[in-house]
Formats: sequence, structure tokens, C-alpha cells
Amino acid sequence: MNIKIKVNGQLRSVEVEHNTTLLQVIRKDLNITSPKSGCEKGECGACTVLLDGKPITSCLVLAFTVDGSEITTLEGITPKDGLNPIQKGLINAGGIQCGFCTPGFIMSGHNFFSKKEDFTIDELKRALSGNLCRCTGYKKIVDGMLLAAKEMGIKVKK
Amino acid sequence: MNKIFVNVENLADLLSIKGQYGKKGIIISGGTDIVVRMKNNMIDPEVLISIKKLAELKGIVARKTKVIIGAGTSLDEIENSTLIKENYYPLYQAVFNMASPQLRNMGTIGGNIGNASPAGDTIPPLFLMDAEIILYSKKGKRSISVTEFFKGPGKTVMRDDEIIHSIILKNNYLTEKNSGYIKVGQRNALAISIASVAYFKDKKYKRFAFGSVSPIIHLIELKFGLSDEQLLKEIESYITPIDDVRATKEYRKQVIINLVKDIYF
Ligand SMILES: Cc1cc2nc3c(=O)[nH]c(=O)nc-3n(C[C@H](O)[C@H](O)[C@H](O)COP(=O)(O)OP(=O)(O)OC[C@H]3O[C@@H](n4cnc5c(N)ncnc54)[C@H](O)[C@@H]3O)c2cc1C
Ligand code: FES
Ligand code: FES
Repeated sequence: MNIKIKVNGQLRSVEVEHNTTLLQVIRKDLNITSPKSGCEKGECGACTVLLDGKPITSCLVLAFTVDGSEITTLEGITPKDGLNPIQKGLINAGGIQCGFCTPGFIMSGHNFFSKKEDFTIDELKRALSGNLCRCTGYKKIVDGMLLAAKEMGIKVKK
Repeated sequence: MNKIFVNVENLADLLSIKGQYGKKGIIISGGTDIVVRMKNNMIDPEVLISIKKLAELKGIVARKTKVIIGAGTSLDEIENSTLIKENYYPLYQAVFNMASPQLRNMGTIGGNIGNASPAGDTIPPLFLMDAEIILYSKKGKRSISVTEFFKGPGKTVMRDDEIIHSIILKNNYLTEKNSGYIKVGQRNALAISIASVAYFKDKKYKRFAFGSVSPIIHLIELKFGLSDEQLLKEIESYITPIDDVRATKEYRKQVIINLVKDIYF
């Protein structure tokens, strides 16, 4: 089946089989490589992208079912030359080690902050609970997100 | 063999395609169960019918004393509905603790019911709500009580030409004060439950529905003033758990007994 999807604002047309996943389309057909293939069963969040504005694990989405949808990856929320606030926050807080989990965390964090004027740390942790990291121990990732929130003018509620 | 895979955009098309292919026509909603099963080579569907784009099956509406949830409504939408949180608290709590943010955006209540797992978190709360499952086929519509719908793990009364259209919730008095859903899992995000209980407490009686500890879920009503022993006797026959990779049956049984005692006494 031929599907048309809008990826980071660009209309793309791809030929897919019944069992082709959205992650395969993004990485192999479109050569956009920030979403990672980790567990391939919805548990690690490394493949997180926004589907019509909401974070989903693209390894569990069959591509044919999202014909006509909009997809956003890390590439789509990053300025051409430079870094977005979450990338900067994670770097400055030491929230990136091997980096495999990072794009997924950024997509979850980006979606969380895009809907908030203020937030609690528990809400933030809950928003990140579908992303696993085997290196950092999470504290530094949360610290990095907090730095990003500060830069974006989003406040922490007590 | 060539695979057939389609997106349906209206109910009439869905019923006609499902009627045509019957058992072979596998419905995919959020896909969070189906795709995992395809990847594990547990199933190899010849015909996949996606209802992701079917707007008619989505949304939550109030009708007098009832609430109707479309089968294609995402778990996330249920979690964020004040209607559900204020009147059907156990369902809110169940959904709040399911899977992960990503999975709640993808997974649907129709998929959780269609999967018919004794560990399906939305199911025990539906027993407290006297819920009705509305099924459609080309031949028409029928309404089945949740107490009649499930016939064992992965088994329901649904015919091969039928689809789940919506779920009707009754008993709109289940608030944070008198009811809830407690799930014991291995860790919070992403854990499939080991044992769970949906409960409602009134002045005269208490109602329970257990998840993950028997092949079929039952609604149990207990009077006030039972002794420890009487309580055990009343609930014991409803707890027939299995051993699996997540827990032993003895552990599951003890977890449920402790939960019920906590709620009852
Ligand atoms: C990492 C992970 C964590 C999970 N955690 C939990 C958890 O905590 N609690 C829990 O209960 N579940 C959990 N699940 C299981 C799953 O996410 C849920 O059961 C979800 O609600 C399934 O919905 P879906 O729309 O994705 O189902 P699908 O995979 O689309 O469908 C599931 C089944 O229902 C059938 N079906 C779907 N819609 C209809 C319809 N309208 N009419 C007829 N049949 C239909 C399908 O044919 C299929 O047999 C988890 C899954 C994963 C991968
Ligand atoms: S690769 Fe998709 S969740 Fe792990
Ligand atoms: S930095 Fe290595 S997995 Fe998170």
C-alpha cells in the first residue's frame, strides 16, 4: 500500500507492507535516524515520536494505519544550526551518556512542556515514565529537563 | 499469500468488511496487543482491518445517568475525562496506572476488552459499573452485560462478524471517596498486573472485582460485619490464580486476600 504522511512538515509518500512499522519507515525509507530501535515491543521508549501531536512508540505502530497523519521526530523540533532547550539542558546536566535513549526522552519532554505553563516534578517524572535509560540513573535527565524548563520560562509548582 | 490490509473510515464499511472476512479479518485499533503478537509470531493475520481513523468509535458522551465510551477511545482520553474521574473513579484509577504515556495514547478501551486478558486493567472496574458492551454486525446491534461477555482468557461471546462499538457505564456514583482500583505489579510504568482489585464501599455492603487471579472475573458482594474467617471463605472460591513468569499462585492469592482485608476492615 502507498501511504502519505507528513514528516517534520514535509509530505512523504512511501510503499509499505502489512507489517511494516512506522519506525522502519522513518529510519529506513526516510533515513531519519533519531528514533532508535531498542526493545521493539513498546517498553523502552527509544523509538518515541509524535503522531498527530502525541508521543507514541513507533515500533508498535503499523505504518499503513497512519496514512494521512503527521509525524514529528527530534529533527523536526531542533533548529537547523543549534540545539533546542531540552538538548542544551541534558548536555549541561550530564543527562546524556551513551545517548541511545536521548531522542525518545526529548520527545516525551517536549510534548510535556508544550502543554504547560507550570508543572510539578511528579508530573514531569510521570511524563517520562515510558522512557528507559540504562546509563544515567534518571536524576540527571530530570535535572536537564528542569534546566530546559527554566530556559523556556515554564515554572515548577510546589 | 498476499496480505490484505485496509483502513476503514466509516462504520458501514467496517461491518461489511468484517462480515465478509469473519474470523480471518483481524481488527487493529491501537495495535499495542496485536503488533506485539505479530512480532512474536503468535499470529500472522491474512486480513488486517484498522479502525484507527474511524471517528464514529471515538469519544465519551454523557446520557442522563449513563456514560457511553466509544470502543476506539484512547486510554489517555479516558484518563483525562473529568466525567470519568468524578463518576467512575475506579476506571480512572485503572487507566491512570496502565502502561506508559505513549501506550496510553495508542491503546484503546475496545482493544483492552477485545484482548480479554484476565489482567486487562479496564475490565474489573466495568463490573462495578454494571457495564454493557455494545456489539455491532451487519445483522444489527446487541448489548451484552460485562458479566456475560468474557468466557475465559482471550475468549468472549463476540461472533466472528461482530465488532465492539461502545461501552455503556451505569452506577454513576463511584467516587474517589467510596471506590477505587488497586493494582499490584512489578513496577509502576509498563507493568502488567500480578493481581488487582476494583472495589466499592457502601453502608450496607462492599463490592469487589478481582483481576489476574481467575480465568473469568466475577463481581462479589460482601455484607458488613463478617469475621476474618468468614471473609476468607466468601472470597476463596473466586481466587483461582495461575503460576506464571510474573508470580506464583500462592503469592497472587495472598496479595488479593491482603488487599480485600485492607479494604473491608
Ligand atoms: C509495554 C506494554 C504495556 C502494557 N501495559 C498494560 C497495562 O498496564 N494494563 C493493561 O491492561 N494492558 C497493558 N498492555 C496491553 C495493551 O496495551 C492494552 O490491552 C490496550 O488497551 C490494547 O488496546 P489496543 O487498542 O492497542 O488493542 P489492539 O492491539 O488494537 O487490539 C487488541 C485486541 O482487541 C481486538 N479489538 C480491538 N478493538 C476492537 C473492536 N472495536 N471490536 C472488536 N475487536 C477489537 C483486536 O482484534 C485484538 O484482538 C500493555 C501493552 C504493552 C505493549
Ligand atoms: S523500541 Fe519501541 S519502545 Fe523500545
Ligand atoms: S544515556 Fe545510555 S541509555 Fe540513556
